[in-house]
Amino acid sequence: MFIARKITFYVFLAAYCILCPLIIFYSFGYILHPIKKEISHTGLIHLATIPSGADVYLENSRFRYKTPTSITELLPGKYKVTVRLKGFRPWRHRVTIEEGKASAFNNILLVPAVWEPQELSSESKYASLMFFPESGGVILKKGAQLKDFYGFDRKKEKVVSFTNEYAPTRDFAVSSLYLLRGGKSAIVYGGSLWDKKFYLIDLTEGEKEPVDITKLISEKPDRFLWRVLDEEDCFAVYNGYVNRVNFREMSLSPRFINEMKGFGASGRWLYVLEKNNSFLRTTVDLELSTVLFEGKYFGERIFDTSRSYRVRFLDNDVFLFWGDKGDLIVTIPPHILAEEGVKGVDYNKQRKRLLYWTNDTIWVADFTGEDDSESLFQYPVSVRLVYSGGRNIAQCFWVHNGTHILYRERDRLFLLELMSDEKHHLEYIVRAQNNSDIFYSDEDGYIYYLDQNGGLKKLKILLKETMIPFAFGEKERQENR
Amino acid sequence: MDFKYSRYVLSEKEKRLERFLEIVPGALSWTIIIGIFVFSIVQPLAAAVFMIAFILYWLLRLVYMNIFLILSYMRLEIEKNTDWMERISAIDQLRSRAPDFCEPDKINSLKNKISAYLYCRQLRGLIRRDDLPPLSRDIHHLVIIPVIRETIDIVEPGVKAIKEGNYPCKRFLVIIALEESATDEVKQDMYRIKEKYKGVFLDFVVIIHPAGQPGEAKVKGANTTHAAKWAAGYLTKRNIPFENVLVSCFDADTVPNSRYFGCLTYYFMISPDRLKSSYQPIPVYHNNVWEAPAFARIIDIGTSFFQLIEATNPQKLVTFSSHSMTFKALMEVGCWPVDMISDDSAIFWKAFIHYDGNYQAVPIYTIVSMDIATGPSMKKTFLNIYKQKRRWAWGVENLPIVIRAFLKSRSIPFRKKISHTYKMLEGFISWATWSFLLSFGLWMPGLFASQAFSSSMIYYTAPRIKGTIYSLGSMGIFICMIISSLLLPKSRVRYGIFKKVRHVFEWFFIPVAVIVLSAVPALDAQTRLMLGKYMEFWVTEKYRKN
Repeated sequence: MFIARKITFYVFLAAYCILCPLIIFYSFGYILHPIKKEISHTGLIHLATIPSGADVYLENSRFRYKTPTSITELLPGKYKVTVRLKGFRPWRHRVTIEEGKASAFNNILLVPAVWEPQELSSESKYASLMFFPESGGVILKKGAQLKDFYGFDRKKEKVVSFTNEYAPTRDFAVSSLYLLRGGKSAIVYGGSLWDKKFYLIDLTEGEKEPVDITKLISEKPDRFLWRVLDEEDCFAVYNGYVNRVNFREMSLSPRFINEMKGFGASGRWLYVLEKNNSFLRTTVDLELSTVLFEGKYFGERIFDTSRSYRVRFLDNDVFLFWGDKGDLIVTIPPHILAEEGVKGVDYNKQRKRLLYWTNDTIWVADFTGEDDSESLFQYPVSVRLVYSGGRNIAQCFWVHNGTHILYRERDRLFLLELMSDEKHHLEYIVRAQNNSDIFYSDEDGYIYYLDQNGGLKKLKILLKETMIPFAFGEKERQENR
Repeated sequence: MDFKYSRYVLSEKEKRLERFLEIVPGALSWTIIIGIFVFSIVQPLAAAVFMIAFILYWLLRLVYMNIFLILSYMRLEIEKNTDWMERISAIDQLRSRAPDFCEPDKINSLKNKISAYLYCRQLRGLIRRDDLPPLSRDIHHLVIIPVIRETIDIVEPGVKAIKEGNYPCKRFLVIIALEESATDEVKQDMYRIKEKYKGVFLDFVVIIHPAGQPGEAKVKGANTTHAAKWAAGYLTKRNIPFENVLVSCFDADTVPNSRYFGCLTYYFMISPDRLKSSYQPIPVYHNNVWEAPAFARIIDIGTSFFQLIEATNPQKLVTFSSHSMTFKALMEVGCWPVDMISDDSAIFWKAFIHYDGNYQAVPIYTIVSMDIATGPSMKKTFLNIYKQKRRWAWGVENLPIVIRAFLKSRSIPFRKKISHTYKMLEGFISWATWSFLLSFGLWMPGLFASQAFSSSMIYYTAPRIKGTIYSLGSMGIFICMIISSLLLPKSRVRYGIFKKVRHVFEWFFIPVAVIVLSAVPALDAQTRLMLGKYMEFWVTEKYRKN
């Protein structure tokens, strides 16, 4: 047994010494070229789709496995890849394979061949849908009076009227609307020329009378900001100052913050951009303030473009300043992301990507600090133009955790798939009502919009199937079993 | 070599060396576990390559071990029905007449043919060495059963098995080594056993080990050493030479196979250097195997498998749990350590060092059955098993002592020193770390993948390669399933086919069971040794359902 054991040991040792380097080299893409009989360094294509189980075609040959799958042992060069699944539009891409590199397409969202939106309001027709990004709330509108406004509870898919049929404020003419507390409350402003009023409306369950808060809020602010930690505590932001309003106590702290040109809130902190361009962080009671940077830090003229700025905390002490003229500034180089015209922003925390758009372009700023470009100077933020040539791009949303962009260009909705090689895929989805917003929720993958007749609809563009970024679980074609 | 096998009677310099060596196993284990985690973050590419190399090594090692598991099991099967008494008798007859060799060619059954072939080879070796053993009628067996809180239903089956075995009872001196601190109920039980079996053996005694002896820790070794010293006086009075006595130190729940002592005697008689050998049977845990929960069963079957595999490598075999040795060697090395928990392996190393490396453990292909550690509830069972495994892993306490001895000794061959040191260290480290590497190390590089890593080939090829290797490795699980089914005893109560089939599929619990009830206790033990938190002896609770 001793000799047998010794022999077996050396045999296995030899096997390991031979197999181990071979397997490791194979894992890096080295193969023996079948024709040239020499070592070739190959690449691979990895494809993962939602939904999975799609057929993969390389050039015109069908690959034996379905998605998610990797096509390995590909010699460097260009390949045409097509992914097909019954009921969905084919996905095509021309892939360049490099030695030892993987071209990964982990987030291919297959688009249905035919969209099937669901009707949410078969009887009611609306004039417009308004989406409030800061609060995440949706308002439906039939006319200009208070009785024509409705809050939309997306989770229950229920429409809640602003007033009941007997309320004296039913016919109140609304000229401005603000949404607070994630859509749980609204402040309306309007009325007759000589009697402008503000009303606070509770949009949660039960019919509640609008509350006249005109004494609290005398002037129309640019916007309201409420504190997540205390939803009754609210800030009315004006040009140059901020009032603090507490709706529980019905109290007002006028000019709570003064001499400012930018304001934001995050968690328990308030952020103030002062008129001298100093930026400070303070507690709600203003007791503890920290200057985050002095006025001259970025140069004196950087905040000159706009009258006021919305301040937003992104991640890791990175702040975003969005001016009313559409200039976009961040606190890390290259600082100025856009000089003017930015109509909206959306930040994906997980991928650390900022989406922003102008009338005719869509941009993505990547804050991960991983820059594939070969430029001499590398910034912590890399900015790329992902779409240009648009006409009146009104809204954009991140889809599927920052891998796709849903955007509305006038009345048409499009889905833009971002590709690592910059050859982005564009798919037309559906036509919505003109001059009406849409709302998209990445949690459940639904778009909410008004069709051209004013009917409220929802459309699923993202299946719930989760994508795991590892290559396993390949399915063979059924006919091979 | 004259060497004090203890960590408590050292000079300052030796204490420092001992302390340093105690830190090594735990430090290495933690370095590996934390290292793969850190490595996956800092260098995910290199970590992925390392994991491929590791899992390939694991696969080949698994196949290698399975080969010897199968061979060892076959050997056990071949010798299952061997008439050891007949062979003993044949050896006795070698003195009086010319050898009457068996003729394997005349035997029809393959199993018997192989058994006969091995027997003939052993016999020829004995004749060639011209080193005839004592006559079997002169060979006596001393069985020491240490008891502290085991009751009659745990202890008596072992005594009964000795009586009902095929070795003459009158050659047995059975000692129940009873701790003074045992309860009155336990003491009464032991005296009841003595009363019941008096007159059956050469003698049956209950020796009380006084508590609180100076220089002794609360360990089993102190109890058995006390009993052995009493036995030395007994044997001397009756002029029974120590070299003709085989001492078997059993656990309280050990039930030897009916052929155990015949097999032991046979191997004693045919072994070269018989007086410098320990005799290691295959431990199985069949006493309560059908009553124990699945996870407990699987872990202890794994222990039996490990011993089966170790039996194929006698050059590096170390004694474990219930085993036997010559009484002469036991007395020459000073009996079991009185201040160490792992007396079963420590006694081997004591002898190995004492005889300058000229000491070995001889595998004997017969079984001794013990209890699976259980408890009155599932939680207690889990805790009992955990503690038992931790106590077994505490065998790592021998490593620093052995290395110290190796450094001091000029007589033990260098090759043996390196070989044994490597095997011990590698054995304990892999015990504590491999399960973690296999369970977590495989997917960690992918989890912390940077963009650079996630665009490399290996990010995608590594999971596929590992998956393929894992699939091949699962064949090893099938082999274990089959052998475990074959090894299991017929159940006393007739269970349905469902329960038997269920047992086969219990092996799928292995990945979880191995981490929680094998790797973690091993890491626990090594960490305690590293931190100098020496373990109190905890008696494994033995519990039998009525």
